[in-house]
Amino acid sequence: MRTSRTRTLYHLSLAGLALLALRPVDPLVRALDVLLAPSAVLSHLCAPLAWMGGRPAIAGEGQEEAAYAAQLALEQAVLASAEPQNPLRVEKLAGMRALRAEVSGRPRDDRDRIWLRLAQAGNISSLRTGDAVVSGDAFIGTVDVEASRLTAQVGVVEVQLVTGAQFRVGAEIDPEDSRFTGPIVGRRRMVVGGLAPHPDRILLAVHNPEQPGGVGARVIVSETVRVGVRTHLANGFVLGVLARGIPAAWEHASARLAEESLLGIQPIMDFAHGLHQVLILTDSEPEAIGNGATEMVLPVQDAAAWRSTQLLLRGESSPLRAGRKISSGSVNGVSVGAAVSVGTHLLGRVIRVGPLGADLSLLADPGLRISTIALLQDGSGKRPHVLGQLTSLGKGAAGSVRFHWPATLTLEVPSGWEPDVGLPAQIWTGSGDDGLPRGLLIGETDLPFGPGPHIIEVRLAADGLVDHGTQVWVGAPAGTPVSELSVSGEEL
Amino acid sequence: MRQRGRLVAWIMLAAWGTWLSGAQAVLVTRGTLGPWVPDLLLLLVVVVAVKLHRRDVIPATFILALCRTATTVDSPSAILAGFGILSVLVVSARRYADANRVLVRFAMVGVASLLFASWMALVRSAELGLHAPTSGLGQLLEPLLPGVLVTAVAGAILFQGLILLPGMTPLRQRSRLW
Repeated sequence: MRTSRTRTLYHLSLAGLALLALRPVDPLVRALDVLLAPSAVLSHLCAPLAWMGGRPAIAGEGQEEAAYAAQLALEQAVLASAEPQNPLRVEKLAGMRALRAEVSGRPRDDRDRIWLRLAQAGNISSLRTGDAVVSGDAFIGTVDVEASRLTAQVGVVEVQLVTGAQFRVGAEIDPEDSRFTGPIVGRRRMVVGGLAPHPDRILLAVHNPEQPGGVGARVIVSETVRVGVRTHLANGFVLGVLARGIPAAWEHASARLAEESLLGIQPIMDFAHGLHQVLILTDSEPEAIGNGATEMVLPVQDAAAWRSTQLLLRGESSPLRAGRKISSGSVNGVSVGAAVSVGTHLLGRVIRVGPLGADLSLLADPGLRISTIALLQDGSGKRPHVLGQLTSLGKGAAGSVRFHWPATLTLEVPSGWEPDVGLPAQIWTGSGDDGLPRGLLIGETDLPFGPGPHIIEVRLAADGLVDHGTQVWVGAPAGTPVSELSVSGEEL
Repeated sequence: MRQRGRLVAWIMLAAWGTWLSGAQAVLVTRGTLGPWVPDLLLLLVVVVAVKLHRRDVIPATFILALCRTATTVDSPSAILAGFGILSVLVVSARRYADANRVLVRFAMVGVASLLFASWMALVRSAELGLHAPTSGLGQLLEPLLPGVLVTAVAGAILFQGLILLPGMTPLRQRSRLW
């Protein structure tokens, strides 16, 4: 009887574990990670096998000077990506304060909001609700000071994106776009905000358009100056291109249905994964800042945010995976999603943490997702291009790794470039992913042109077989003023 | 004295399990053999389920599952469930199958390896979700099939030898008493 009951309990627990494997429940998974902490000790038993699995260091590995120089070039290019390119918009900035900030994450329960870390935390108190936030030539949302009361203490301000259901901003078809405006047609004004209910595409919703037509034209912010509304600060910044979204299911429907298709704006930014560097436009007076320092450029690497770690075994027993065990766990401050790098080269991200060790998913591990920026090398210099989220598809040919690139922002063919020849680019991490700082080199590739999605082959900068200088991101200590972090720069 | 000997045997089982799984990890990742590396730890799970005393099978399987989690980033709950269910099936099968025959060993280890590979592919498919381009069960299982075949062959050859690994004598002795 007793044996039978024990056996039943054993079988039930096996069924429970099987269910947990197929449908993970976070608290139970974390409890299991704690229960299985002794396996981290067993991982150390494999240390002698690391001699078999390693490879000799290649000349130049571990010498970080060249990598840091490249990182600095990226830093300048990425910071420049926050600034508008159009001369009219550059001119507009002269009449106001433009505060540099970086996307540091977003609330879990509201994907239509982002958190910004200002280059100079002291400037937060001078911000007002409604101050416009732009990235390059694009308008992306407004500051919400009320929602930032708690986050402001750690140098973070909350922004409501134009994709938010309640968001509204005045807009019009760009008068400079002469194809669609003119003395006869006049101005085409509308209200923009939230997402259009399109089943297949991401389009900003258009409300109350003044006149029909204008599909294919550029839409800019055009807000009148009113009390309590500050989005006029971003007048002239681009919302996207007016588009008529015909759902795929309506492809063979009648012309009448097509006419009733959704009018929306195709954004020029990837709001889900492509927001990195931004400017906050405000006309409020700056408050005196204690040390009188100029605005600092945000740091590429903060030494205090990294802990040195060790790869316990340079291999992975499952042919389906590309992973590693590292010697640091939650007692060392490691958390899920943390980046692991060798110098300035990204190795992968932590996917599971126990008290004494953690599991690392390498870049070649299928399913790994990273927010990225490309540094394009088209002969006329280096310029950044936001790639958005890349998803690893596993190993490709000759040691490369294949990635799925949605190409939300399509890459245009530079003048004089063969369209069939990909554009050489370095791929770096962007900001906005928890635990993944920007400025870590992923590898090099040739990017295809045109609308996505594309599959790209990336030649990795780090392969996980040499662990000299491996470090794991533990994040900046809470409350660290951004101005205390290193690297110099200047105010716009 | 006997208790201390058994404790050492459990520790040795953990050490052998980890080394076998670690060696497999290095060979899969670095060697030219790639997918043709046998899953020796899985083979050890089958050997333990066939050869050890029935009451020793559950702790031995748990220890070997720990060894696997020490060398892979696969889901620990999937490994625990996979090894556990496999050992239950093998313990049931050992009443009817004579593991001293080469063909029986080949079939037993082959089926166990195929079941475990399918289970891990299913879990991985669920993890990746429907949106990942390589999440199909068939696509995931395909690269594991060479390993299944080689593990079955290794089972036919190495089955009797694995229970003779140094330090495991106290566990073998109890199985004889049974």
